[in-house]
Amino acid sequence: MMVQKGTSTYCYQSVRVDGKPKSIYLGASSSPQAKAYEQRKEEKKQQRNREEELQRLNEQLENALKLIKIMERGYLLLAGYYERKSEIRKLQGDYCG
Amino acid sequence: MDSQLTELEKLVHDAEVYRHAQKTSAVQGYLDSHPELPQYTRNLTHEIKEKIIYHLSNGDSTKEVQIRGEVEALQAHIATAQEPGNILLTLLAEEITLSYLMMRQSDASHARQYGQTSTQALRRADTAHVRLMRTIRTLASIQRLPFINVNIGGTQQIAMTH
Repeated sequence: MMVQKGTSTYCYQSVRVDGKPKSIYLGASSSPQAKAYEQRKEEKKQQRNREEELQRLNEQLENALKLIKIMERGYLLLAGYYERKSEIRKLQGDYCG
Repeated sequence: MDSQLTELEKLVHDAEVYRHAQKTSAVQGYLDSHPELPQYTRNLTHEIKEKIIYHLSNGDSTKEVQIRGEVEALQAHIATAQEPGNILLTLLAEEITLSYLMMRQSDASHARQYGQTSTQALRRADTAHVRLMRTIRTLASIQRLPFINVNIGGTQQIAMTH
C-alpha cells in the first residue's frame, strides 16, 4: 500500500506473520522495490479485471446456450419428437396440435 | 426476456412430460405468438460470438483472422448438412459454433494462466467439450430422422427429408 506522509509517498507491503497482519516497509515510492510492488499490484488488478470480464462473458454464453436449447426442444416437439437422455424419441399417438 | 424464457421452458417441459396435443399446441401457440424469438436468438449468438473472438484474439488481428477462419470452416461444414430455412438445424448449428468457441476459449484461458488454472476453469473446459460432442451427436440424430414437415407459423417451417 502507498502511504502519503507530508510531501513524500512511502510504500508498504501487508503480510501475515504467525496469523497477524504486519506492514513491511519497502521504501519511498521512487525506490525499485516500491516500483516492483506497484507493478505487481497493477498486474494483479488487470488479471482480476480480465477474470471478471471472462466471468460476465461466460454468463452471457450460458444464457444464450440455454435459450437455444429451449427453442430446439420446442421446435423438436412441433416436429413430433422430443429429447430424452440424449436420445431423440418420437411422440406417440395423439400429440399433434 | 428472462420471464419469456421461463414461460417457454415451462411449456416445453410440460409438453415433454405429458406428451399430448394440448401441451404441444401450447408450445406452438407460444412460438407463433413470438415470431421475434429466432431473430433475437440469432442476434444474441452473433454478439456473443464476436465477444468471444475478440477475447480469444486478445487484440491480435492475425489471430482474429485465424479464429474467424476456423469458425467459418466449421459453419460451412455444418451448412452442407442442412437445408436452408430449417430453423431446428440452424439452432443446432448455432449451438455447435458457440460450444466450439467456448471450448477454444477454455483452452486459451488455460494457456494464459498455466499452472494457475482453477478447478472451476477445468470444469468449464470439460463442460465445453461434452456440450460440443453432445450437440454434434444431436445434430446427427436429427439428420437421420424420417421426413418431417411441420408448419410452425409465419414463413418458418421445420422440414427434413431422408
